[in-house]
Amino acid sequence: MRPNGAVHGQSGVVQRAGAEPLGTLIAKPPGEGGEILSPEDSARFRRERRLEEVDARRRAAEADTRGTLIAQDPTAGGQILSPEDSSRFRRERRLEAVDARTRAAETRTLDTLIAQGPDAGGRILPPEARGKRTERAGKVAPPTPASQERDRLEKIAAWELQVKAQPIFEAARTLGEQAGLSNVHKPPRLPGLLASVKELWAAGKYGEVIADGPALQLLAQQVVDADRMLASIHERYAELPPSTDQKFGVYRKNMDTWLAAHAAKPWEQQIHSDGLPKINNKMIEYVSTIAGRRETEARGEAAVVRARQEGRIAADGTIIDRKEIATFATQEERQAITDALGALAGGQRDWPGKWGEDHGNHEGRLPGTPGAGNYREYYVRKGPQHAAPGPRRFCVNRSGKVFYSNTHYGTSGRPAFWAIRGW
Amino acid sequence: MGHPASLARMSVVSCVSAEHRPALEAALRTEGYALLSLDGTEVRDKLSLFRQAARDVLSGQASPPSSWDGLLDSLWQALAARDETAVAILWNDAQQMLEGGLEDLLVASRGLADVARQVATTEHGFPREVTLRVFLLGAGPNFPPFPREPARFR
Repeated sequence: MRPNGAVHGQSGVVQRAGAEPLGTLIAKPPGEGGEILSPEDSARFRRERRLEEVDARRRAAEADTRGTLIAQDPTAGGQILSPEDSSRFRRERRLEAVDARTRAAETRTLDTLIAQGPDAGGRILPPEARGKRTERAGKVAPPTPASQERDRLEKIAAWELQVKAQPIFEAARTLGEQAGLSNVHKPPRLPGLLASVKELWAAGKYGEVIADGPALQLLAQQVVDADRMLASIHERYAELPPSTDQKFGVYRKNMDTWLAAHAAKPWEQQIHSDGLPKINNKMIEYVSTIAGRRETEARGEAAVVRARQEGRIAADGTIIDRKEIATFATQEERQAITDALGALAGGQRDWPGKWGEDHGNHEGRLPGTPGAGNYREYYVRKGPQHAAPGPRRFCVNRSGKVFYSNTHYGTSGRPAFWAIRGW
Repeated sequence: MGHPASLARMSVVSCVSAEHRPALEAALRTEGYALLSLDGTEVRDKLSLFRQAARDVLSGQASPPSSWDGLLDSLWQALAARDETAVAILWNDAQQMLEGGLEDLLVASRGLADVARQVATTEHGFPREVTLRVFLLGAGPNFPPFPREPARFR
């Protein structure tokens, strides 16, 4: 209630209680001294107000076309809008507020809260709060949907890079550790590369790990392969006889020479040249040859023992093999042998050719002292391909053991004799 | 002029001076020996002997024997194929075997003596009895003259 009895509103017609309206109160706060106008002034005042309202709507329409509608409370000096503009303005502000709250909810952190000033459609804040916002807004860039999407894609890309880099890093590290086993193949570049990849990994520079990883993997794999080959060579080296060995000493001497030459090469050549595979192949050949010879010797030793027990070692050291009559090549020869054995067993004396003559064994191709004799010689019927008397002979020792020659004691081939009867 | 009495005193395998070859051959012919010459000009060891024997003694045998037993058996066959009952083999330049081939010469001498014994009888299939003698002709003190002087007795 005012002292003069007038009823005061924010704007509109002022009238005395129970009396005619006195005029229009200028829209000013009561403390600023509003006054009662005369009917003429009141009419002029209302006309001016209408003109101002038209002018305000025009400016609002202009502002709307620039997209800079400002939501300001009238008490803060904002403009008066038309009901339509005001409704549209409030709807847009609500939408912006909802959008801001959504973004704030997404970021969930104080640092990403967006400090929006009144000109960005934010809430009106008290001065002290507004200062804090301004301070934060200077530190953190306000997020936008585009920047948020960009951040999201960058995070995904980094994650994918890490996933790709992980096996390369692990494999390179493992191979690098294996490569460190050798005392011979230690490429100077390998430890550096390994350390580099570890550092890059720790720094999260997965792209660079991927870039360096394959080179390290390849290098380490080559070192490991060379190491394994060299280990294999050294393992077989132990099987080589000493260099003083008459037969195989040269193998060890060769290996010593080649391995020394290999060790003297730069490590790149050790790994990349074909020298090491060649040495490895040669070593395999040597070991195989030695094994074969030993096997033959072992078989030979067993055969010698048995032949000695059976009296089948000739004076010249040859083992006279046993042979069944049925195993001779032709029926004609088998029959000739059988017939001669029959004549021998039957004591026949009128056999054509030499029959029961002394045989000197001068050449030592039969057991016993060369030249000492102790054998009887018998001709065996010649084959159709032979000129008389042919090459077939029996030599029989005092025990009745029969040695058979179809080569005239080795003149026309080997062996000189077979052991065919008496064993 | 030969000296049959001198031949009778000589071994199956004997050494004679090459200078006395004519006298030896005359004596052998007188005794009815067929003469086989073994040219020892190139014979210095076992293998060269095998080759030369195949040409000169074994009737041109296609391939030379590779062993003493083969050589001696081939000689046995060669003698069996002949008609003579007395055969003399004259091996000239035999002194060459004394320079590195002595052991082979000893084996040859032993083997030839074996064959001479084998062909002297038909007991073991040889077709007739044959007298075989071998003369090593050479130069030097190992090869005495022919005929040899009879032994002096006190």
